[in-house]
Amino acid sequence: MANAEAAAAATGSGASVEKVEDVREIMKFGVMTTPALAIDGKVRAAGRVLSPTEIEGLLRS
Amino acid sequence: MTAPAAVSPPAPAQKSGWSGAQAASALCHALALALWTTLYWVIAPASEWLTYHLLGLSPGSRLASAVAFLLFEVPKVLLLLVLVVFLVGVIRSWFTPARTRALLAGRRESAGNVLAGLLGIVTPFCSCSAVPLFIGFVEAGIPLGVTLSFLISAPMVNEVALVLLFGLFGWKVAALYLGTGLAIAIASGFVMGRMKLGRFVEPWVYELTVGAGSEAEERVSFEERLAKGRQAVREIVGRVWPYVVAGIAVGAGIHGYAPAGLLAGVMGRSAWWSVPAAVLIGVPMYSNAAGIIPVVQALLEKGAALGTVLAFMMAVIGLSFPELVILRKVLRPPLIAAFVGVVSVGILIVGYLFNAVL
Repeated sequence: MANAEAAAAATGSGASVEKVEDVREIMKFGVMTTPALAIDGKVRAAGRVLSPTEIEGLLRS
Repeated sequence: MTAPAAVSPPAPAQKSGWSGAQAASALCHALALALWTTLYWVIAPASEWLTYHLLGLSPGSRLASAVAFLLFEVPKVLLLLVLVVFLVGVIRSWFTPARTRALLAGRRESAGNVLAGLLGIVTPFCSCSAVPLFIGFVEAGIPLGVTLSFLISAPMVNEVALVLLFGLFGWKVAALYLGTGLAIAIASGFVMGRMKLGRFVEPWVYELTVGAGSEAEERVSFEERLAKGRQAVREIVGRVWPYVVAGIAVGAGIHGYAPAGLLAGVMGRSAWWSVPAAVLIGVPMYSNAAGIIPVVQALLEKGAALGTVLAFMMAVIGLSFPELVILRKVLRPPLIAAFVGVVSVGILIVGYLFNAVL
């Protein structure tokens, strides 16, 4: 969460970060391992915590 | 888990043989293995030298016996853990939950139960993810009993427990634990599948619309798999080592000071009630394998029967209260009760069987 915020700030895109905690909401992403990260509604990583640099790479791509 | 294509470097060099970085990585892993092997062989002489020469303890004394046990077992078990957790971490990079689900989807019961039990060993699992995993399995049409086989096997038969059993009890007990743990997972899942418990799954689970296939499978290089192994060592060994040390220290105390045969009356073969008592005490206890196994090993040495000890370990490791609380989100109380009941019966059977046979 903090990593995602740091990465969003680093890209300067003004992206907002939201933590989804409700299982039903999580399942809508089809994720089976937490924590997971979705960008613009698409799951990009699941089952591990990404470093800010990794998230930045995902955001820029 | 997923390293999207945009991030992974386009690597034309990899096609034409090893790059410099790959060669360096291979060399590092080879050196680490050589260091591991050397360390493993010097533990025994080093622990004796430390105990009897440096500390000057006289051979045969109780203190010397406890100290020698501690100084030998702690580094041995930690070294074994590092190696096995690394290897399992690498192997697990092939078995993501998404792939396991794909392997299980469309299987019928019985064969599905067996496969689910086996996949439970190699699929990375944390009880914190039990709920999304359960829903993901059910939504994929995997029968409830097969899903439950997976959920029993995954925590009970794990690499940390097997390493400790191998290191402290020898390969026979480790193999027994593996075999009987799997048998319990397979049989319990099958039995619960027959009991038609689907109506005790929270109804909202079936009403969910699950996004499918968004955990895309991507090509993972061998280098990334090795990195997963190293990550597993950092995470798992980093988390369990204090329990290993504490467990072995308590074990060492029992080893050196408790009189032999102390427990024969209470946990011995002749006490018929010891197996159910071990399960009753074990279920609410929540300890990881790392902490409980060294203590149990010392108990075995002091006259406890193997079946009773196995039953106790399985109850502690396999049925954990926090996991049941987590599963309560998707399973209604009758199903939770059936889960605990059926698995406990399985553990009881294993306990009595080994007390009778061995």
